[in-house]
Amino acid sequence: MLFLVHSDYNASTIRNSLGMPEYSYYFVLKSYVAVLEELGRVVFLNDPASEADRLFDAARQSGEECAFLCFAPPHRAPVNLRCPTLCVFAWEFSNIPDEGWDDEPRNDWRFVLARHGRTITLSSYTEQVVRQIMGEDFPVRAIPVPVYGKAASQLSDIVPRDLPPPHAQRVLRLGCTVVDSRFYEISAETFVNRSPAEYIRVPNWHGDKVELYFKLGTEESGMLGGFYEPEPWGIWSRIAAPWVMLPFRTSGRYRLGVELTGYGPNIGRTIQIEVGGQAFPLPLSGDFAWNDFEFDFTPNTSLIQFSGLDTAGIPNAHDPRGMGIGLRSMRLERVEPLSATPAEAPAPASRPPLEIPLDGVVYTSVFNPGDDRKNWLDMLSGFCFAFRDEPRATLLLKMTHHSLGSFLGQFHYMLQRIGNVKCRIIILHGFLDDDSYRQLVDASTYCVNTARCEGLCLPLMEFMSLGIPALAPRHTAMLDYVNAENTFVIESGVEPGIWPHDPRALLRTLRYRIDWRSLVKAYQDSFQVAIENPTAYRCMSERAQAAQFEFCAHDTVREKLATFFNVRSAASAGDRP
Amino acid sequence: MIFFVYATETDQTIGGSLGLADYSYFFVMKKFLPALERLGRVIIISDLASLDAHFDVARVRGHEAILLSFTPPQKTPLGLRCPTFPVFAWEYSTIPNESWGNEPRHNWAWVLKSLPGAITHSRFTVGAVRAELGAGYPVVSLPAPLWDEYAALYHPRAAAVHGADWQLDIAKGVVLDSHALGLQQAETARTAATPVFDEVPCSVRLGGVTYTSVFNPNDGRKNWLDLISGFCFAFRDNPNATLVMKLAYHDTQFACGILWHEMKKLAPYRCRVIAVQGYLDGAAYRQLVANSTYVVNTAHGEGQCLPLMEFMSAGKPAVAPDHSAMADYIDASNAFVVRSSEEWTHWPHDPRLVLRAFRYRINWESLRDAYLASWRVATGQPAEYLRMSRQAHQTLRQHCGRKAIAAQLKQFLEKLGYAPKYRSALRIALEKAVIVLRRLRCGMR
Repeated sequence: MLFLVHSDYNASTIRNSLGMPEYSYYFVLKSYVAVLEELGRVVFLNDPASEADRLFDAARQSGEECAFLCFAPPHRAPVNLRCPTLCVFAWEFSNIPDEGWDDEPRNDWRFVLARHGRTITLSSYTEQVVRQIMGEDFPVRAIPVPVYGKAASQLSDIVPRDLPPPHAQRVLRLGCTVVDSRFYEISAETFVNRSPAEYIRVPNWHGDKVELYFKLGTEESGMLGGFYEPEPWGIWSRIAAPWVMLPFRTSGRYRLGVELTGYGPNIGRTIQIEVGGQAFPLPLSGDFAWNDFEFDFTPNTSLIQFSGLDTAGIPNAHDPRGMGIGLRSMRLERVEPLSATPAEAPAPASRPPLEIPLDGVVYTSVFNPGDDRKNWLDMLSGFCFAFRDEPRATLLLKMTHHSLGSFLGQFHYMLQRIGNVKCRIIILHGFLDDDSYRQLVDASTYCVNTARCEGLCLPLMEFMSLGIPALAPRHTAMLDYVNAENTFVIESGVEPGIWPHDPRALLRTLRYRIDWRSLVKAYQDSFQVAIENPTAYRCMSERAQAAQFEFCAHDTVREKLATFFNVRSAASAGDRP
Repeated sequence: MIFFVYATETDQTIGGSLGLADYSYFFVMKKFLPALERLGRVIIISDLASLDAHFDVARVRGHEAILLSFTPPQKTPLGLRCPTFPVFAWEYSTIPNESWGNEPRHNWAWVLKSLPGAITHSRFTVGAVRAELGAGYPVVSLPAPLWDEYAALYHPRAAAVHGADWQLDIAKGVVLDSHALGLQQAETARTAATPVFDEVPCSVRLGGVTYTSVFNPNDGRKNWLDLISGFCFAFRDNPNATLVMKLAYHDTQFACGILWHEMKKLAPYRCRVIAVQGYLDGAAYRQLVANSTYVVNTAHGEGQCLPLMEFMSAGKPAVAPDHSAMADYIDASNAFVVRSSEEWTHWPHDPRLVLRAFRYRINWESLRDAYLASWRVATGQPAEYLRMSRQAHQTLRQHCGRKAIAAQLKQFLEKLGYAPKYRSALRIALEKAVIVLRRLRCGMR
C-alpha cells in the first residue's frame, strides 16, 4: 500500500516555527511514518494539490492501494482530490465545528469529514466527539502517536524507574537560554535581574538602527522587568527601578532614544537612566516625549536600567496601580564613527554549553507558552505557593516557542507578584537535541500538565513512557493514559471555550477549568512521596510506563493502523506460524 | 448611648458614585441606622473636624458615645478622642498586613491595632482579622440588618413562577433583551446591530422562571461572565428561562457596551437574557425581588452581598457559592450551592498587585448544573421550592434581622465595657419628631 503524507511544516521549517499554530502536526507525522513504513510505502508530499493525484493514478495503474494522510485539522485539508484523503488530527474540545464562516465550507468540519468518508484522531475523547456529530457508524478511529517506541514488546519488559535520592545532584549541560530564578532578587518593591550574559542566548546584532516597541504583542514587550502587563499603546512601570533587556547583544557606541511619559507624582520628576555604569538624568513630563542619550554597549551590558521612580501612584485613583513611567518605544542608532572595533561575541549556537546543577524534587513541563490552553501561569503560581518555603523543589519549564519575549515578560510579571520564595524556577528556551531532551527526562522527578484541554500531549506521553509519574488533570486526551495510579490527578471541570481557529471568538464549545487548590495539593502530595516514599514512587513510575505501553506502544499503533487500512502488518504476519 | 455615624459619601454625593470605590459603604450605613437606633441615638457626621467637640459635649452630659466609621480601615479616621470603630467589608482570606506607597494606613493590622475594635460583615473576615491580630482582638461580624425591609415580600405559599406576566418599569434607563434583539436565531444574531444605549423611561414584560442578579459589571470580582455563560449553556434551547441582570454602574455606555458584547458572543440561545441599566425606584426594585424565582451570585468573593441577602430575606432561594461571607448564610437547604475553590490573588487596592490572599475560582460545571437543578425544582417540585424559599427567609432572619443584629451589637459593646440599652419604638419615634420640629423651627427663622 502507498501512504502519501503531508503536514504544513517539515524538517527544514520546524526549527523556526516552534509555537506556531499546528506546528506539532510535524512531530505527529514524523512518529507515524515510522509505523506506516512497516505497512507499506510512504511518500512525503510538499504540495498535495499537485502531487497527490499523480501518485494515486500511478499506484492505481500498478494495482497498488493508495491513501493520502493529511496531518492537519479538517479545515486545512483538501477535499477535491481523486486520491482517497483523510485527516489525522488532534482536537481537544467537546464538539467539532459544525457551522461555516468566512465563506469557507471547510470550516464546517462535517463537510470535510463527510467528503473524506473516514478519519483518524489521536485520542478516544476526540473519537467520541466525532461520533457524536457524524453518527455512531462513522469510520473514525483513535490511533495515538507511537511514543512508546520499540523499547518493550510486552508489559514485562518494563523497567520501573528508581527515584533519584532527593539530594542527588544532577547536572544539565545545555546549549540554550537558561532563565533561573536564583539570579533574581525579588521583593514587593524591587525586581533585580543578575543573570550572567551567557545565560541569555540572544542573537548578536551590529546593525546601524533599530526600533523597539513595547505595546501588547511585540516580542520586546516581553523583555522587561519591573513593569505591569503590556497594553495596546505600550507599558507602565511598576517599581522604582524597572529595566529593559535588549533582545540582542551588541557592542559599540549608540544613541539611545527613549519615548516615555511620567505618571502621577513622577510628572516633573528627574529620574536616572543607566547602561553598564554610565548614568544620565532623565526628566519626566506628563506627555510622551523622546529623550536621547549616548551609551557604550558591550556584550555584557544588555540591561537599560531606570531608577528613582515614585511608585505611590495617585491616591484614590480609579486604577489602583502605582505606575511610574509609561514606555512606548526605543530606538538605537549607531554613532559614527565606531569608537572601536566591536568585540565579537560568538553566535548563540556556538557558545559553550551551560552547566546547570539541580537537586531535590524536579517538576518538568514542556509546552508552548504562546498557547493559552496550556495555562502555564497556574502551573507556576501553584508551584510557588506550594513550595514557597521549600528550597528542595524545582520547576523546570522547557518553552517550545521561537520567541523569548513570548513568555519572559509574563514570567517576570508573575515573579514580581509572587515575590520572594524559596523554591526554584528554571526556564529553558531554544532548540534542544535528542540528547539534551533526554537529560531533561533523566533529571526530572515528575512531569506536569495543567492544560485546559489536550489533543494528545506528546511531552507528557514521552516523559511517562520513560517512567516519570505525572501531575495532570484527567480530561480530554489525557483520559486515555492519566489515572490515579500513575498521576497525582488535578481536579477540573468544564467551562465555555471557543474553537481556537474561529475568528468570531464565539463561545461554542467546552474546555476545562483547573481547580487551583487541587493543583497545589498535587504538588504537596507528590513532593511528600518523592521525599518519603520511594516504593510508592517506583510503583507510579511503573504504572506510568505500563499505561503508555498499552496506549501507544509501536506494535499497538501498527496493529490499529493495519486494521484501519485493512492491510496486513508485515511484522504480525511474520509472527504467525 | 450615642452612635456617631460616618461614611465618605452622603445623600447629596451618592448619585454620581454608583459603582465607584466604596459606594456600597454608604448603602450599608443606611441599612444599619434602624438597628443602631434601637440601642442609642444616631448622629450622622459629614465633617470629622467637629466630631471630637460633639463627643466632648456628649461625655459632659453623661452619655457614652462611639464613632462607627463606615470606611475601609485605611480611610478610617485615626487619633480622635471619640472611640472609633471601622465598619468594613472584606472578601479575601487575609487582611493587608504591610504598607505601601509610604502610607502606613494601608497596613490594616497596624490601623486596627490602634483602634478599640472593628465591625465587619462575615465570620470569614472575622477569621482573617483574628489570624493577624490574635483571637482576643475585639472584632464582630454584623451583616447589614436588612431582613425586616424585605421580609414582607415573603409569602409562605408563593409559587416558583409568577402566574401571569408582569411588567418592570424603569424610571430612566436601558433594557437589553435578547429576545427583542434577535439573539435567538443564528441568522439574526449574526447581523444584530449594536443597539443605542439611550437612557429613557422604559419597561419590560417578564414571565416564566426568572433568575435575577444585581451587580456592578465593572467589578471583576463579580465574575458575571460565568453568570451569563452558565445560564446560556444550561438553557440554550429553553425559551421559558429568563435571566435578569440589574446593573449598578454610573456609566451607562460602558455597562451596556460590555453586556451587549457578551450577550452576543453566546448567541444564538432561545432562553431570555435581559440586562437592565438605570435607576429602579424602591417600588420597582421590590417588584423585581418579589417576582423573581431565584437570585444568582457567581462572585470570586463577597464581603456580604446586599442584593443576595435582600432576595433571600424575601424568600428567594439562591444559586450561589458558599464561600467567603456567603458561607454564613448559603447552604443546601436554601440554595443550589455552586462549587468553588481557592486561587491566589492580590488585595484589590494594592498597587503592587502582589499575591497575598485567596479568592475563589468558580467551578463552572457545577454552576451550569445548579441552573439545571434549580429549573427542575421550580417547574416540577413545588413543595421543594416552598421549603427552600422558607429556609432562605428563615436563615436570613437569623443572619441579618434587625433584632438579631442589635442584640449582637449590644453584646459586643458590653464586652468592651459599654452599657447600651434597648430603646422602645415610641422613644425612637419621639426623638425623630423632636428633630423634625427643630429643623422646622430653624427653617422658619
